[in-house]
Amino acid sequence: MLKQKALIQVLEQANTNEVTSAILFNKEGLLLGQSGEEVSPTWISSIWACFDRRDLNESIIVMDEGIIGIAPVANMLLALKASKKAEIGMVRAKLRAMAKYLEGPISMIERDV
Amino acid sequence: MSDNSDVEVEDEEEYKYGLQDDSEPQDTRPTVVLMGQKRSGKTSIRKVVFQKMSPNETMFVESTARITKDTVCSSFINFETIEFPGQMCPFDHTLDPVNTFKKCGALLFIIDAQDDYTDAIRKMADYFAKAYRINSKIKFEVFVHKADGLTEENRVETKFEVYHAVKEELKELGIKDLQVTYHLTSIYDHSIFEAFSKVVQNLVRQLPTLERLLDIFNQGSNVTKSFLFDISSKIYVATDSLPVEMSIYELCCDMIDVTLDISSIYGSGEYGIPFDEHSAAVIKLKKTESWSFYSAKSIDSWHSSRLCAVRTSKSRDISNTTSPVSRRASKKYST
Amino acid sequence: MSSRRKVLLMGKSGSGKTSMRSIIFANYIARDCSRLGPTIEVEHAHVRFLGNLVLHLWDCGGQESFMENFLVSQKDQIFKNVQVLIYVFDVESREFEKDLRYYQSCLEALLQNSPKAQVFCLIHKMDLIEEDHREETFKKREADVLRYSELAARPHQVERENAVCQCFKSSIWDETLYKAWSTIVYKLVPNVGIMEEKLKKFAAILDADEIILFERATFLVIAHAETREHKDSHRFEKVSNIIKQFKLSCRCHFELESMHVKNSSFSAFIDTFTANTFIMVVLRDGNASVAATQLNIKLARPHFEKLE
Repeated sequence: MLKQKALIQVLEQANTNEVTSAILFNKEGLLLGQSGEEVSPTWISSIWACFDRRDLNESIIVMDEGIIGIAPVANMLLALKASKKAEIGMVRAKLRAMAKYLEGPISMIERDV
Repeated sequence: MSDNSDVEVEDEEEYKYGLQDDSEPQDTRPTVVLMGQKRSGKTSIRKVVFQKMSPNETMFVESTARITKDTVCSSFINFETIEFPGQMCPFDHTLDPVNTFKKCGALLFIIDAQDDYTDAIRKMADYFAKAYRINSKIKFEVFVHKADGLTEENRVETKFEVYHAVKEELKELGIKDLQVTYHLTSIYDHSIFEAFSKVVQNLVRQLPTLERLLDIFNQGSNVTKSFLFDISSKIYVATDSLPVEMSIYELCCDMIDVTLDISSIYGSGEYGIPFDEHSAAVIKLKKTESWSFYSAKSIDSWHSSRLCAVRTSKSRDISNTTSPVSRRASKKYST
Repeated sequence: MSSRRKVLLMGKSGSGKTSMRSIIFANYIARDCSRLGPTIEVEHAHVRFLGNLVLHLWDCGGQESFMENFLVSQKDQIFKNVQVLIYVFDVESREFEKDLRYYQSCLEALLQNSPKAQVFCLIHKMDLIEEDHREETFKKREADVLRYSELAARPHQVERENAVCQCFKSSIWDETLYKAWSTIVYKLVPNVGIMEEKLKKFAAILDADEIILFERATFLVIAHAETREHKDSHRFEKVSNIIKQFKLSCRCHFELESMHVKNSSFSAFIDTFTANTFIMVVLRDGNASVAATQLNIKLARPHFEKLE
């Protein structure tokens, strides 16, 4: 089972170095856990759906106001939002590390469903 | 979702939302006058619609001996109900009928369909004629009430009979262009709420605007039907331009009930109020593969109007899609 | 493996036995009950409850001639192998003394034939009493019923926890009916203890204030776990009533699958659970994740399916 509190604690660890929030959500855009600023998972999952191909591993979107990084975790999605001052490399490194850490437990939960 | 920004582009300044403008003195508030014979069910209707009394409890309601006034007020609906007891003639000089009916927006006459209504109709035609001479803008409505006791065919027949009888009576009184609307009602089902909704909608000045806004909202978010409800009375203030299916309206009423009831058990905070600005409910129904969604973002106070949307297609996350929109909409309406 | 329970439903004619049975087990709405005619002799109803528990309801017609038969010629047939007797009193009955004497006779017959049976008395049609007087009237009636229960039990000298029965006030118009029937059914369901243990663990994982398990068809509460005390002790039957009403009013067009209600201080999730149950999870957090809670409910499902 998924303990929401534990998940949020894990996600909180990403929120340093100009990364303002981390969220985990399913592909329907429903939130599982979030830390930091509020971000709408619906928009992000829509963006992901636009690009989605089998081989898409991650996407980093750089905008005027900030950066969003998205990566799949098992059947779900992880997104980090960072301010415009953040370094793209740092956002990507955090995204990968977090996705890798969550991959095991999340895929185990999904297998049981 | 970008389509929804259309909602915001609407020029906000042009429309005033709500009737509580400071510029308007309080007594311009329209009134809904309720009349009917003794024991025809006037008080029960008021209790069920506006005070959430359960229908079976109305048998303890005592007959009303005096004129009863009540104010119904939330963001869009703001009116006063005046109930005249059956034995009293509202056109008696001591009651200042001119003043009462000048302000009157709608006149409801309640007829007990299970009783002999010949006298009631004669009286009604007389009252209608008198009120019409004072104020020709009044909407005249007849509730053919206690329809639950009649069979399906009987109901239609009764309504028809009443319609013809009223027409005859009015003709005799020499009144020609008085428009009367007829409703079959019962407090034991949703018909009373539906009928009252229609009555109230006539008093909402912003109705066309609201209808358009709801249409835009539907288009922008793949919603098939949306209503704007007054939570406490289950009256719908407005809906989009599509026709209203009775079953969908009933479903919405039931959803409001469930949401309120569950919230009052688990969500009533320190002040015992089950509704706040984060109130929301999503109810998912099987079989028709339909999603049903009802967002209850508060607009101003807890008993005010909310947005209710029903959709049929299976979608992505409806709650997230719709709530920001409704929140935005509600922000706008409340200004 | 299914287990059968024989449940006797008795009481004076017109006291409302068939009405309440129809509401609880046959999805009638209160208003439709006026169409029901009086029960002739005994009507048998088999109700499958929680899948493999079969309640064999003997709805015994209450007219005096039938009652005499039950107590004399059909005594053995009626009162043998009974697990539960539900005796219904009309609170407004003009001959309450007489009703009590019939009750005493039935109870005596029951004690002879099924000494282990449990007895529940319902003081019914409470809606006919004005609200201010309900509690007082009920107390009076309850005292009478208990007194006659003692009278019936004394000559048997058996262990008489049963005869000093449980009394409930009930009305088909509100949740009191669910309270009474939930309590009755609770005694009949096997594994309730284990189920509640599991629910408790589940509540701890979810950080839930409360979890309630409902039987799917009747929406009677069969088990619950609370981790935080709730001030309203009638909430279970209230929720039963609320959801059942909702289900009934939309049954022609739609069927309920799940529900999520929240405000800033709570989130409640109601979801189809095992083949025979619905579950309700209440969290104190208004922002609790819908996806995570629903995922967890899905994950818990197989654990409870094993118990049925």
